[in-house]
Amino acid sequence: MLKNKFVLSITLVLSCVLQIIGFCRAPATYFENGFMIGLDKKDIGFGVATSILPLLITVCFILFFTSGTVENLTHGYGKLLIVRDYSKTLLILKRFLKNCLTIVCIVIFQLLIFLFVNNYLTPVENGMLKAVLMYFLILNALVLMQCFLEMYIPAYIVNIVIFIYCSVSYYLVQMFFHSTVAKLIMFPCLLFGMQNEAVSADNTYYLYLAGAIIINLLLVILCIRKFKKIDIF
Amino acid sequence: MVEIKDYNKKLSSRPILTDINYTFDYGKIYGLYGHNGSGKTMLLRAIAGLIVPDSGKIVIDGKQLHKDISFPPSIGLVIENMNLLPQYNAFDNLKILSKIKKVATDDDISTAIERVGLKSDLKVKKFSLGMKQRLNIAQAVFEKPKIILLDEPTNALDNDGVKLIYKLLDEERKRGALVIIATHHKEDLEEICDVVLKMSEGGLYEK
Repeated sequence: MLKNKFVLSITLVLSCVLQIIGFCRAPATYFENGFMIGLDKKDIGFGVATSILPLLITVCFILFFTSGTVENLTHGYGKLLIVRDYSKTLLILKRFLKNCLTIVCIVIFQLLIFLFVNNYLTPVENGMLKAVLMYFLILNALVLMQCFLEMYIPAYIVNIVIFIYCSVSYYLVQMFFHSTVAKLIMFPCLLFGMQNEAVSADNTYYLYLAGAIIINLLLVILCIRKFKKIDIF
Repeated sequence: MVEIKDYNKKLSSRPILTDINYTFDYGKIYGLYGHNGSGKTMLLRAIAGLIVPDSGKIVIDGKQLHKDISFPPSIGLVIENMNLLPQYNAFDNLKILSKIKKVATDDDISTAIERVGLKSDLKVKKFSLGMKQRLNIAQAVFEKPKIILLDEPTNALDNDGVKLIYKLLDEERKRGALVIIATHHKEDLEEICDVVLKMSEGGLYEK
């Protein structure tokens, strides 16, 4: 387990570095503002779909890193704690907190790399904090979603499902960038929403921010409710 | 005592425990035997409160599981995939678990580890399969629980290890604990159990 975490950490770091290299080499119009900013709203069509991959590569590795959070509780060490009447709510909330701290560390690391190669990438002129906050909230929501789905389907399938959801959401939002509802349904698109107008306009940013917070809270509640009733194997 | 009444459980619409009715008393060792998939492990999970019944109930000392209590108040459990934390030694692993209920002292932990023939200071990642199994059994008994549920406890143990565990279980019986052992080796059970029960296709039958 520890060795796995070590290997996953290395691959995650490598993915962040690869992502930045990808941005530096890509046409400036696509990635000039870094990892949490995304594609421009005018960039639509299947050609752009291939450009989504560098954006999502780190997300993919983050999902690998947090994979098995719930599976470990329901099929592994968690049994020893649960059978001693350790509060299931507290147990899963602690895991969420641990995942949340992991995401904070990853986002800070990505940000540091981004700032390090700032000479090559145009700095975000405004809205850096907004973009980072939204990026963090949506990443956290995806990890919570991963935990929720792990209560129904095996962890490795969950990763594939979420990655497809992210890719499809980000691709489709380029076509629906005026629809608030569509953006909230396809919430992974908010990860990189600074150029596609998902979160760039000041008047709608706080609406999406509230939406992201609600999605996080909703997923936490759903996870706790399901985890309390789930059979432990 | 542990009373199981009309207990039924299905998984993906396949019955895995069917109309179980039985009463287990303290101070006895019960053996469950049956083929793979007969429902032995699932019955242990049910008594441990890890699975919720579709119908029926389990009553422990007058309190209904999943209604009056979430889990049996005093239980030790050995079941598959219960890997202890490899980065800690045997003592620290049990110490971490002891912080939940706060009923076992450091002496209790050391004694339990000695009873299964292990040393406290060796890290779990250096344990063989048999040593891990011994530590799992120590984990199940160190808090002196009233109910001890063991799934295939002699798996990966050598002859000396089996004798040691049987001696330990006999001591637990004398202490007044209810011990239930599930295995597919019927001959293992006859040596130590007071009552041997057969499980087949989710049903529980007296021998």
